Amino acid sequence: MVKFLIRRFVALIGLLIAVSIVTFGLFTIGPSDPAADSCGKSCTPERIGQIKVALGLDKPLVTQYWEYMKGLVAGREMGPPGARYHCGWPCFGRSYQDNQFVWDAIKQALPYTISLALGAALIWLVFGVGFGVIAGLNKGKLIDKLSVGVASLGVSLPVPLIGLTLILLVNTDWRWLPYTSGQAPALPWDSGGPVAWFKNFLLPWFTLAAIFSASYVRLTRANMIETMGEDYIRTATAKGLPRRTVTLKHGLRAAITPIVTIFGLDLGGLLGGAVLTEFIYSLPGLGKLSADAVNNGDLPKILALVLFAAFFVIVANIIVDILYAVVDPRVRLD
Amino acid sequence: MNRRRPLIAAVAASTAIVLIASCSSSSKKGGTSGTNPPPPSGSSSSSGGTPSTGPALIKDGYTVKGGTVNILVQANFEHLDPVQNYVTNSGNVGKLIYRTLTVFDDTPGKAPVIKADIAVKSGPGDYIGIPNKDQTVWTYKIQKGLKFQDGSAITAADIKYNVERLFAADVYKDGATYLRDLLVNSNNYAGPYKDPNKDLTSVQTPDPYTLVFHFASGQPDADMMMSLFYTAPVPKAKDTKQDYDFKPVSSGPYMITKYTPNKELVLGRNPNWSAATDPNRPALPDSFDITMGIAPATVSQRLIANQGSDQSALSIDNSSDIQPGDVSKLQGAKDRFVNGAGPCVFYNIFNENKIKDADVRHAFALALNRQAAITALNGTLFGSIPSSFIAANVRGFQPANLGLKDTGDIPAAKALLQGKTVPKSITYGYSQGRPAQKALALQWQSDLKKLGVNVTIQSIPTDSFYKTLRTDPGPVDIALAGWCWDWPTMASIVPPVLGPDATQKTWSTSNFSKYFDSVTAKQITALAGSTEAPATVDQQFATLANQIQTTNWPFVPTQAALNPILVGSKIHNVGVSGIWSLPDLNIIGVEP
Repeated sequence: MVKFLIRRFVALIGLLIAVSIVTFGLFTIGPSDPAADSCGKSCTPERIGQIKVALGLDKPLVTQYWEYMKGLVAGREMGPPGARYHCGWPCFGRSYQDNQFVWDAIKQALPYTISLALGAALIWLVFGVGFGVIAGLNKGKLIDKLSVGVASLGVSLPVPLIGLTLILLVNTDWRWLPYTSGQAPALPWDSGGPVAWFKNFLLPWFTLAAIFSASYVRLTRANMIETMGEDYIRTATAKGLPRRTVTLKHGLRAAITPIVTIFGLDLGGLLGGAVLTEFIYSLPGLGKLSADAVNNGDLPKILALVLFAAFFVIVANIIVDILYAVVDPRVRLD
Repeated sequence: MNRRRPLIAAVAASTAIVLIASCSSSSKKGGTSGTNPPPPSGSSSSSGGTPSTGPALIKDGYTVKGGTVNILVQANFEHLDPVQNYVTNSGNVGKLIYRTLTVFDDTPGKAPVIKADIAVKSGPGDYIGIPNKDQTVWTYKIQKGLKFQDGSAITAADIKYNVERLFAADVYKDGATYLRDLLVNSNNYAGPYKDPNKDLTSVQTPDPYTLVFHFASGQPDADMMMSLFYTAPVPKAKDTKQDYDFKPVSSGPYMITKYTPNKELVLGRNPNWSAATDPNRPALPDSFDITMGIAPATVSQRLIANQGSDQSALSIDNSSDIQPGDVSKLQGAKDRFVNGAGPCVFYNIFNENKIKDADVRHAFALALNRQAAITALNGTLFGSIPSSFIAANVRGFQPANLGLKDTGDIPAAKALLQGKTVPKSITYGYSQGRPAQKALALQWQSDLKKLGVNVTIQSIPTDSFYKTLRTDPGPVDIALAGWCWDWPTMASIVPPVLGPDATQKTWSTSNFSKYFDSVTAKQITALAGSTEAPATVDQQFATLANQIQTTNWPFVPTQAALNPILVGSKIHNVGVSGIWSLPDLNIIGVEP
């Protein structure tokens, strides 16, 4: 187990370095010129040179990259002589757009994204896996057809349609939940406390979960049908084990293994930001931060968010590998 | 650049006004005529004035102090450090936080007038500062007894210090740069950080209440130049350099009481601001609560719905005020709606190094259906047909006798092209992601086809749009550009858009038509530094600009930008600031 973790940790670092090189290269060698973009009406080559110093773009590319990576792990000194300042680790630099430290912007956005992703994940796991199991165990029956039908509907509806419809009905027409009307929803530690947080996030959770639940229903159903047809299930049933034990201990445990993989990747991806849902509900999470950064050509933010998203996906993969060993006795981590 | 890029503020990702201006045209949302009386199609072009847009100020006369104004914006402010604050939404807020040597009284519907702010009017005639004979040296006396938010005294040294910060060009990448560009800098001063022992010798403070500015050339517009935020006082002891953006020390009626970037900015009263020293700022509300990160469509819908706290709300993102799909809903909100002109005019530039014959350029201008162009640029709610590339609220404005028909004049264009070498095919460049500009390109394509000219429409990445226009000769024959003045004089507009660069040998960087004529270059430069009476200079500038426009045709004036604004029902004194193109936060009041 320890060996496995060390191996994967080293791989994680390697992958992040690779991603950082590619991303850094794409954005710094590309056609975009942040200094020229900021240059304004009195733009002269001298002025562009000054802005490059202000942005730290005057140094060779390799030096820029080295300093960036050094900042990530140990912090770094930034700014021109006389106006040097320390950017503590993990230092992602400052935004070209609004001068904020990128790490501060990420820290602000992260609670919204984590709230959204984990809440939605819980819902889609419960509903998706639950209805998938029920459908799989009742193949061909009404409940199966209903589950699959609703799942198909969910997967085919775009997020904006689900989100806006829910807002219109639940918030505006029926007024079942408070209409935050575009303001950032409360977090658990904000003045409204966990109750306000729960109410504010309920619709975003269901919106996001609707899409994922559909896939999980279908996936779980298919796996359950396949697993329940296996010889060892028949043997277990023939031995007189209760149906509940056969289903949950032997059937579901085997059927859920591929779902763990998908779940890890989905959750890892979502922690990098769920752009559409965040936009619809004005959630100032990582997805919205990413979209704004791209719109504004804010390279430090883009670079940081790509690295951040990659980090989540890679970590999710490691966790999935560990969980494999837990749910599937055939897998060993050595 | 919003906008941002940021109208202007929302898209002004860059600090450049030209960038701001041009981005803004494409960021504005479409509208249809009818909800607000559109200007008669011929009136604006024939009169040359600002089109009729209804009352300039609504629900005015409110003088009650108190209440909180809720401001809804879609993005974080670029900068609140006065040395970098140069775009309209943060500028509108900045005016509440800090005072400057001079300030514009830009009462909606009236021509902006420069007034003394921190300064005391000491100069002769209309001048606030005291100029020397050739206007290279300007002396400003400042008020005594002014205080920062912490109670410490504001002195000339604090203003000089912020001007010195302006010279730290390697630290501050954004902001207006006029003083840095125009003051004498004989000792290569590079700001207070790199070499703290050096001094900006061109700004002297002979006593704590006097500032003397030494310019390299005569500056007749110095009073207006001093209204930009680089003359806001910054206490040296509180200068946190790059972090000053988030904690600027207040010298104005409001100070920052809470700031979470990307989320919320709250302004409360500055207890050490004295209304008696500041007749330019009514400061009616007790506080401003600015919520960031709200989608434009949501802002628009909330303002129309006018529910709860939104009755005290408004937006200072032009792109958030009214969404195209919501225009039809404005009928029920007429008493909360106002529209007005700002400092921007947009024009299609002809690349003179590609379309070299002035008659051909003139013929193309004749062919353009400018009425349809207004529709392409989101409709009459957002702009009217201008009679000049200069905004009508500029001092000494005179409409150019363009002789263009609003719907185009193909016969006249064809007649002008008789015997001329006309290009068979030209390229129209538009900024990628700006659908209005693409719609305008299609209009050009349609109109020039009638002259037998094929227009190829080329998409240019937004972040390299102006760089592409500056390339010589470059790939583009025609494109949309614009200019928003920093102060309303001809000298702030004509030199950059038609004048030469510092060498006097070629066009300046914002002269996207690449118009250059050695004779007019000298005339423009001379007028920009002329010490004659302002009215005389204005007259000469207007005559020269109109002459260049109607003989050389470097561009065709296309859209005088309008700025529709919708506010909550409890907001009073609402009008479009001629400077910011936004609801003027300085004058508004709110019912508690």
